[in-house]
Amino acid sequence: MKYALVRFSGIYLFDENIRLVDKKKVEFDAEDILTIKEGKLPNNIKKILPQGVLFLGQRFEDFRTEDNVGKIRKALGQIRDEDFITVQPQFVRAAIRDISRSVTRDLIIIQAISMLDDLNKIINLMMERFREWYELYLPELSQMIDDHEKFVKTVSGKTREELMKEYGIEDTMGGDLTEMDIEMLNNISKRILELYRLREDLRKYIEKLMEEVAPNVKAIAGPTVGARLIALAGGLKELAMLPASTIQVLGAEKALFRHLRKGTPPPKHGVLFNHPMVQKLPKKRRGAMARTLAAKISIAAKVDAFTPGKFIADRLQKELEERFRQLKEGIKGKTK
Amino acid sequence: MKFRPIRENPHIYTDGRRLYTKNLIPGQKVYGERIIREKGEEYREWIVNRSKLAAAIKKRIKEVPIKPGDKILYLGIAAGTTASHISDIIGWDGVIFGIDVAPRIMRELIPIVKDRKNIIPILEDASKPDKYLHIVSRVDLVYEDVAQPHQVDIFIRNIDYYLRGGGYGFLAVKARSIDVTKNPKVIFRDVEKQLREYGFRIIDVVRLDPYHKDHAMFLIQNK
Repeated sequence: MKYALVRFSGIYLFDENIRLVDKKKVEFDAEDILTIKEGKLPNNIKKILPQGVLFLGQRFEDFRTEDNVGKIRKALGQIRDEDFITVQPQFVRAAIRDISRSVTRDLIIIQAISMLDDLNKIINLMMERFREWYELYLPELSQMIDDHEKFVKTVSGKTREELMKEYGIEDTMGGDLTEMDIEMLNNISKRILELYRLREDLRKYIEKLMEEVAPNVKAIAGPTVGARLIALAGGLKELAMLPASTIQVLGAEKALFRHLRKGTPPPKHGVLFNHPMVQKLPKKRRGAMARTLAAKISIAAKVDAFTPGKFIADRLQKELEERFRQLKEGIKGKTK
Repeated sequence: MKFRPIRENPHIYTDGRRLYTKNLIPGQKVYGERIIREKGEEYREWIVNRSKLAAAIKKRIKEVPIKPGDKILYLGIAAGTTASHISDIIGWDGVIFGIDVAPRIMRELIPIVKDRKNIIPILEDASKPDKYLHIVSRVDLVYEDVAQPHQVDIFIRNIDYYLRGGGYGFLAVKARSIDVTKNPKVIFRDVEKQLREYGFRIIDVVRLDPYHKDHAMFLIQNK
């Protein structure tokens, strides 16, 4: 007996010519399936395993493996009469457990940041409508306050007369709305204010999550931009596996693929555009800043994903600031 | 008689326009498809826009070598849309080993396979075929739809491990996931070359336009 293959139906043993010589039946449950997935041998198999066998293609802790595909193929060809339908529910159970434990904290970040982006769109949409509506009543005020949040805070709960006095509006083009109309407007403004509060809560929540899950990325990219990068990559590990050049253009897929297909200029930045260090530079230098920033984020993500608890962002931050200063002053070249 | 089998396969039906399979689990809808009952049988519509295999059949791929009792390795099973129809065809004597790497999409497969016990869900990466040596057996057909840059290598590797001699392989190729910059025609030609050089007999290649843009279905037979 030289080779072995673990199957859900038992353990199969083969001689050096991959001829099946023995089969020992073993009952399998979902737990055993997950143990095998993790690269360990279930105990009930360990107990009956002859010494010194090589596993065909399968990798188990403390055991050796034969990787020759021809041998693996030959072994599989001799296995017969397995009852798949009976064991199927065990595999379904194992898959359920497997899916359940695939839920990691970074997946929550992805949902939270997506909710924040959705919420922003919803608030803007509602505010545009609210202004249009309110302008039937007091158009002058809407023209005086550009900021949506400030506008809704100002008008909420106040009468037209109060507002006209407060803002020195002597005469209005607005129509006279009934008690019922004004009540509805007030009702809407209160709900919109609640949405603004929800947005604030979400921001703080994302900041806490980022501190917990990706403190280095958070420190370098900022909580919101960092969370967006994780979302675009599909997870923290996924972000850590990306090259810096991809991180640089995450969020600019449309421009990137246009570049690849049609040869238009490549995008300089995706969501990194929203980073203050990129924003503060003149257009021509933003590409260089985004490139450096992406490189540092890439390092930060690798640390967060694979060495949790380690903090190197202070050092990265210093290097970034140096590069920012150079670009600001117009010095070309790289940081050391 | 409203439903009649198509020429390429006696277990796939048509009413002249749409494709159907006989529902293995009466009453079960998998993806919002229409179910039509006739003479005590339940026919489940196989929507060409949702399933690349259905589109390939609609585009008259030469053969559909799937029959009752077949064992099938399905790489990239996703939510089980196509797999459910294959499951209808192979029946209770057959089995589908459904591999997918994404937990998100497998969440949608689980409720379907709770009744459809001829589909075994396996959350693994199809590029590592040794990870499912404890469950997947020698199979009659390998079906792959993984939308990965290395999808042809993944296909070949799995065939090496699991497909019986003379067995068949369906490979759904999405040109854009191999290389966005190249013309799909060029990509399909390269894939065909790679498959032929490996020694497979290429039975047919059909473009899936307009049902699936820039996709093609390859049907091969193993040595």
